[in-house]
Amino acid sequence: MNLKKKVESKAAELTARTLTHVLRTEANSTACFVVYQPKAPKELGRFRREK
Amino acid sequence: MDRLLSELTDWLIHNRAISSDDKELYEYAIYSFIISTVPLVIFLVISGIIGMFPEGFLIIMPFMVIRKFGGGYHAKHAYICMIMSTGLLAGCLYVVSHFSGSRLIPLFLLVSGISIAINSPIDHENKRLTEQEKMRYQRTTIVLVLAACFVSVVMNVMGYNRYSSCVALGVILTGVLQLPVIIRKIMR
Repeated sequence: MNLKKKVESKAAELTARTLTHVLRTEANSTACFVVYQPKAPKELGRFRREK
Repeated sequence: MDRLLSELTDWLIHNRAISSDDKELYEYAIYSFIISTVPLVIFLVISGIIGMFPEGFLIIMPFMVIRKFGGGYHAKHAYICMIMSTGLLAGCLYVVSHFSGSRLIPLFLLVSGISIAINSPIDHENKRLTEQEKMRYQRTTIVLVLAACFVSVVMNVMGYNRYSSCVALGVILTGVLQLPVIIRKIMR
């Protein structure tokens, strides 16, 4: 695996980890703090602390 | 926007960072991240440009945290949200720069705090809460409102009237944005 591929793969991993954190926060709060609430997918329930 | 979301999630799938079954879930995460971050950054940049960064920060922090659990009014379209969120927060900066010593602010803080504690959480049709979650988030909201009120009072006592008003305005704005939903509920 060349360096470019390695960096890209690490960046993707980091992005996915950040987005997983976003999903966990979204699943365990009432709504988005801004004045718009996008439709939450059903699978978001997976990230709830209490099932 | 849809193309951007799709391309980003495809990139994550291609790099095996997420599974292809989770595409919709991660598109939602990216979208939520963007619509939450853009107004926040715009507002903080505007605050910085006009030399009111600490004020802007002290308004948005309680607003962001309390609204996250308390919920409230949500616009039908994302672009209306962007304009409204930034406009309302900029309006708060105007209030701080012109009326920060006003005695009406503590009064509005008290009324908003009570209203938020009673009516929270207000969920949205796009993200319904279970009864258990409602109870939990109401408790969290009450603790957060009390903490914000405490910080505002302490700042006032210490003579930081301007900063005290900023924290109060963050709470008041959350209360104001719950009003349309509360009124709609009463009218039904």
